[in-house]
Amino acid sequence: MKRTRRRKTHNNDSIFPMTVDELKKLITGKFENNHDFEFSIYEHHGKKIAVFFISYQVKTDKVEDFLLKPLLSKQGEWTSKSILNEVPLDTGSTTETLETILEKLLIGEVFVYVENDVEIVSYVLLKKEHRQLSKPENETVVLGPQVAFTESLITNLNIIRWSIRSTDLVLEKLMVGKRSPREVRIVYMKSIANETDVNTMRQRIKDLEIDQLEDSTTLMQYIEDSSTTIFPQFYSTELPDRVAYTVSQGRIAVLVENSPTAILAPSTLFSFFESTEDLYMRWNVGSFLRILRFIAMFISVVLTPLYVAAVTYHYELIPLRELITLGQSRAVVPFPPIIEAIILEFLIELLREAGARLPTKVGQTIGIVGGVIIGQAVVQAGLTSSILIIVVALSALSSFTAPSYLMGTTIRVIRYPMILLAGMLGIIGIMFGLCFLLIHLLKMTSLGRPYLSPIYPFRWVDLNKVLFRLPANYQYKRFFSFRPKDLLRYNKSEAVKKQDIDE
Amino acid sequence: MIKRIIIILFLVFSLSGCVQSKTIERLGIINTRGVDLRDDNEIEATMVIYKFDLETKNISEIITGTGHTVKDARENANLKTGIQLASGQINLELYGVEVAEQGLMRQIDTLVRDARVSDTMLLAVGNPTASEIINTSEKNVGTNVGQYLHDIIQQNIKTDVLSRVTLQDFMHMYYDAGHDPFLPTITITEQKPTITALALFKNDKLVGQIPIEKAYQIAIFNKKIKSVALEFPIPTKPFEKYMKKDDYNDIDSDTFYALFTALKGTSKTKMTDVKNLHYQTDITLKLSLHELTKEINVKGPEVIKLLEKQVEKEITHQYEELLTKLKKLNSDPFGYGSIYRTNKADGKLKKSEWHDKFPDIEVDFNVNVKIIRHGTIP
Repeated sequence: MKRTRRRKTHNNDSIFPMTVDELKKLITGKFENNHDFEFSIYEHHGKKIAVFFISYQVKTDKVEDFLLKPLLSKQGEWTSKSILNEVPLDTGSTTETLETILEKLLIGEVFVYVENDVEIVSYVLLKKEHRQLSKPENETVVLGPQVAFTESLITNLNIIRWSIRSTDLVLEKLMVGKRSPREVRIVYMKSIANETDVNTMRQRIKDLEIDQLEDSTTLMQYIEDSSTTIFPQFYSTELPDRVAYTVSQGRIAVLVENSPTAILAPSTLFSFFESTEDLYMRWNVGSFLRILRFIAMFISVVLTPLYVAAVTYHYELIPLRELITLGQSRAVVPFPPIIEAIILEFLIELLREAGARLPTKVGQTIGIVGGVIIGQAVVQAGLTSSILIIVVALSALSSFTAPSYLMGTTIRVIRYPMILLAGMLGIIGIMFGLCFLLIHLLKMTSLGRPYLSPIYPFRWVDLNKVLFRLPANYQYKRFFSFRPKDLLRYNKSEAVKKQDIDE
Repeated sequence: MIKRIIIILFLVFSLSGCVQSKTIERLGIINTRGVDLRDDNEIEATMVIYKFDLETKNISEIITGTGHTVKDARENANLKTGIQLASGQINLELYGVEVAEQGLMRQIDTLVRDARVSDTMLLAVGNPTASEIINTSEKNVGTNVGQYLHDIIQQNIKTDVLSRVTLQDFMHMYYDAGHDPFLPTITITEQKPTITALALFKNDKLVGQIPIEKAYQIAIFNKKIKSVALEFPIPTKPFEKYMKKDDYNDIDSDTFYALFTALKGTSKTKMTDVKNLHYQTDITLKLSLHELTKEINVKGPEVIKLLEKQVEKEITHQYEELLTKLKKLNSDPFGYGSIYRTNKADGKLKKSEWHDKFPDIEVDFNVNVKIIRHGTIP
């Protein structure tokens, strides 16, 4: 595969020297019908000087104050060397090829050319509009930092740098996309992150041959290990503190320009049920919440299918007293249980989708309409039994406890084939489905690392990072399954010591 | 590859027959079944079923059917209803005395075979017939007879009056050589179903009954008993000194009654002489005194000691009486045979062999009673 690497500037590619008029013709020819391209020519001591840039990509007041003023007020002739030396701007560089000029022009550089010089000088005076930092919307947390990434890569890098103030932190830059390239940053800790992982990630991104990159979530789909699976293989987060924590534990984050989410890799299935809040809570409460989420996931996948299977085939499973209530409420319903369940699951999914698409103000009413009115009416109309409403509501609620929106959606989708299997084969069908999922998960990898680690391959020492949490003096190791360069976070014996006041 | 998988999946779903669905609203779920023998030697099954209907509020209903086998009787009953009778939730099976006397294995066989039937379902004997118990109960108890009957037995198992009598326990005792099964007997007293006795079996045939008050003596061999109430007759004479003064003169009877609850009751049996079939059984009871029919001042350790001694004497007497009766019936619900088998040189024992030997065993009952609570005394 070909690499989309920028060609080195060789002298034989150079388009200079040329006259200013020639240059104008050449550049404007590339920007046909582009009214925002500004190309001005100044006469200074008998020499023509060209200054050009795209107006809205550049801070025009800075151009005037710091570039044009010194440029036009100097006594004596300019050369590219003297411009670099004397103009009070520190981002100057020289270029020779047309390709680079165009590239730099697009990202907001200002070019100054003295007629018949051998090179052209450019300054980075870019202007980039971005929104203010705001609270996280998708991954809300009660405790901990309340900041989410924005679309501006610079801002995001700024936040990460402030979170990990270490010279070990690497923010490697890559460009992806042939037609309209975008900046992609690989973030990792030099002294901790596993080199193989970093190389794999770098190679996967470099090898991409695509015309353009829409978002970090699409990048995720381009570089993931298996494109056929329903499970997300990388964690997509909007929380800088999550990125900072993950990176400092030796994993890799990827940021994409204009995308408010970061990709975390490698990820395990269990990491999709970890919230940063688990860390901010005390260890026992954190463990409880984490275990709660695992149970919730299981409930969400299994509960509705179990209802369908029990009511259709396995009446002997239902406790007797429940059987009576269940039988009475089922007696109203004209459909077989599988149709009944699918109707209601579909209804819930419609409500969720409508609530997500509509503006927030209208979205809230949808919740009320769905929850109260439709739920009541459906039972009264005899479309479903009242017990199924509880079952479906419980499993929908459970699926929303997943901190990752991607994983939550996956789990809700898995439910449908499970319901069908339960409706056709009963509990055997559910077991078949669960076994299928388990085998599938066992085979999956994330950035080449097993998706189910540390359960498979089993690592006793890693369980306390994944399934539950322990007090700080037991959490002195990093995640061994991902083979970080430096396994120890701090000294164990020091962690156990208590330091009271010395007398 | 993918094509092949699609074809296989298509064939799997199109060619395989559907599993027969049992949607609950179309089922008549049998909760309790009574099995009786009719004069023409056919089985009559009386079933309490649940059916779910919008119109009727009464969910339980009684249906009967006849046939040569229990399943056949169910199919026969099926002809009388618009719903399919299903036995997966059967909770209690009652056998008429006549059926039980002929041997229960023939009837239990179908329950054991059927994987849908729970092993924890209860078994009981209905005196005189199962159908009479079910029908009379329905008239006097009202709806949900099945659950009512089931709860009567369940409740008494919980309070340690009985030991567990599930299908699994019956099968275990039946197949364990040197151990005979037992079941509670339900009779109608004052128009209500009541547990009155413990039916004793020899192999699977009903041979006799003991009153339910004595069932604890067997229960203590199977489990640690914790909450059963026990009442003993106690001779008055040794307690004369401790009686209240004003009560002293009118001794109208030579026995009085004391009611205790067992806080902890355990048993331990050893074989002292394998050849001559001698056993020693230690019964340890920790009791809490609840009620006395005579006013006796139980303050002071010597009264309590005396009371303990009298109770020990009474229990030993009861056990000896029970054993004589069991020997006569040739039924061994204690499981002395199993202990014999484990002590035997070759460790093998046939059922018939034990039934030959059981009348000859001798047991020393060593009862140890401790009254650890007696409440406050004014």
